Amino acid sequence: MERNNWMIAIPSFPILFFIFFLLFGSILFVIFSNLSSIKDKFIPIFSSEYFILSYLTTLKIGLVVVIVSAALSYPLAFYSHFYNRKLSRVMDIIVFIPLMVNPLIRSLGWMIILGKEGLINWLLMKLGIINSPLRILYTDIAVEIGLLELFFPFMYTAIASSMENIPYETVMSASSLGAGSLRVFKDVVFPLSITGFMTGASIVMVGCAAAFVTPSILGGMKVKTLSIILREYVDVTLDWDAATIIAIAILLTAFGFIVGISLLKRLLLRW
Amino acid sequence: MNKRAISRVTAVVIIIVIIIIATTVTVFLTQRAPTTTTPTTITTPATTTTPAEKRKLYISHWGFGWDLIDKLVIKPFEGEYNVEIILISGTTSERYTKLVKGVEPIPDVIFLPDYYAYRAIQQGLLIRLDLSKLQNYQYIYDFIREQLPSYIKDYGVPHTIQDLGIAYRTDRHAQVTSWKDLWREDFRNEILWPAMTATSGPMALVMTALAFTGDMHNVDIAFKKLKELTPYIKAYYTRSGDPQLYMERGEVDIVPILRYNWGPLKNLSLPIGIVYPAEGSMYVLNVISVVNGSKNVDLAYKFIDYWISKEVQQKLSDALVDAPINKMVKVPSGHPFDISGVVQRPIYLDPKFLAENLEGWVNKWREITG
Repeated sequence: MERNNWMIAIPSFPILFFIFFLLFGSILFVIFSNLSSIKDKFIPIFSSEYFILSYLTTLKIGLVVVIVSAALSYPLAFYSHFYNRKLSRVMDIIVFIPLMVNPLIRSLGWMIILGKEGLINWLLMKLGIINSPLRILYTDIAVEIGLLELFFPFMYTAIASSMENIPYETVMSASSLGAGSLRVFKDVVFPLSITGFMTGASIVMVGCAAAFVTPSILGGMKVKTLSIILREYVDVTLDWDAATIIAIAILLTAFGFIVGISLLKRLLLRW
Repeated sequence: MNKRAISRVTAVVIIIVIIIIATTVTVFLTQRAPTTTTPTTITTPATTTTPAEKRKLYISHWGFGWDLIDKLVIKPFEGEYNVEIILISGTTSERYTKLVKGVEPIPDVIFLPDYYAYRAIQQGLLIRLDLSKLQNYQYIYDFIREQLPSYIKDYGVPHTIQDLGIAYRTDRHAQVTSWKDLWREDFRNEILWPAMTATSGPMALVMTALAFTGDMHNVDIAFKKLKELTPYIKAYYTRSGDPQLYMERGEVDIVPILRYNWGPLKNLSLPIGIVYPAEGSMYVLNVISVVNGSKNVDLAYKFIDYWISKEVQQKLSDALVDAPINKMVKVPSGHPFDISGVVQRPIYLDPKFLAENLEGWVNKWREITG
């Protein structure tokens, strides 16, 4: 029964068609139809200090969020999956709660917590740990916290679901052979769930590169990410060519990250 | 086999459906009309079947506060002139871009900030107006009519004013009178400044030039002063609602604001004072223009004249929609739209000056804040 059941995939065609040919295709169409006016602007924009700085900011924020969200997801997923299945089922639902809130509201909520007269500063001042309020809001840290809340569920789900594929017996046999839980994690669970981490990292990184609402509110326009300068070009200087170039940069970064991470995955799996 | 035949038929049907969907989406995307809402009628078929030929006037407006505008201005106008007004709404840059690209339906009348109007005029998109046809034009504040350069004046009729003031916490700081007070030591780290990409951004820059050099065109000095201030600026704002948000949360103590922030800031029940800088009140205008190619120019004139009339301006002012430019309008002292302070020392920010320099300013601003 070696039949090629391609027809099964037919129902997904409309959505694929919509995403790739219409949305992505229209971007490519815009790029190529305006190529003559765009191409002269490539080098000045890519070499401008402003662009490089915001590019690095975007990358840095993305990487921090990837690393921190993975660092938070792994212990939680590891523990709940192998030692407490009930918790695991509850967590699957709980982690998605933040996503049910509108990003604008979520960011405004962080203003209340991180602000000058916010919860954290109030608490620290009451406890006498600090004398004057800390400046958290309108810094990279605030943006990273906001994005972490937004993208943690994706990282967690990706890691947790890849752990589902690790048979409990594997972990048990490792422990019975004398491996401590740290060793089990390092030598058994992590290598076997690396695919999940990579998937999560791609989603989080790409999401961070494209996020706009969170960095614009929590960064107070002082933290310049690529999406923020893109909007400046569209809305203010009405320079659609420059905006297209920034869009290409975001797209290439996301694409490059996915390619890079899948190469890394292969490398890590071999090793 | 039977099962096979069924699956083949299904596949063919699905493919046909996909093709139909794809074609519809493609046609929709290529011939897409901008978001239009008909304030008068809920369903469009009803209008097409009405026997009496009603003329249609397409208005391009940002749509903010349209519920009120519809009730106060549009409905009465429609009744008086037996026309149907169709709103094309969107952000300014969206509507401007549509105008440049000639996206259907092309509006008859467009509301734009003077800076965008200037750009549209340069491209020949707006028609030259015969201001003598507007009976209410003479009631526009004298200073506006005098300061408006002819390259705007003849193409766009002012309908509201946005002037730059300073809002600050009176309980935490001594009185503010001058624009230079923003550089005072007690305001350090308590400043919310408009991003160069917000309407008030370039105004604040030019105001800085004026305050420190006496010449609003001397922006080099202004950039130097701004650079000095940069470490003490807590955040930059772009959204019109930001000043009240930051003030309410106690994040900042001082912020240069536009007229439309006055009402919301006064409503905060915080000790906030709003002052006109001693150096003068920098202002920009929003104008109404007639789009080149409109077939309803006569109606458009009537519409503009109606909008700037004392009655309509009074209603829009009372409802806190737009600050009036008609000097006959009575605004109680202390009302958010009381512009008596502007009249003292008005300084118009010439859109031509802005259009010629904005890109450079934005780049420079990025350099000093990046």
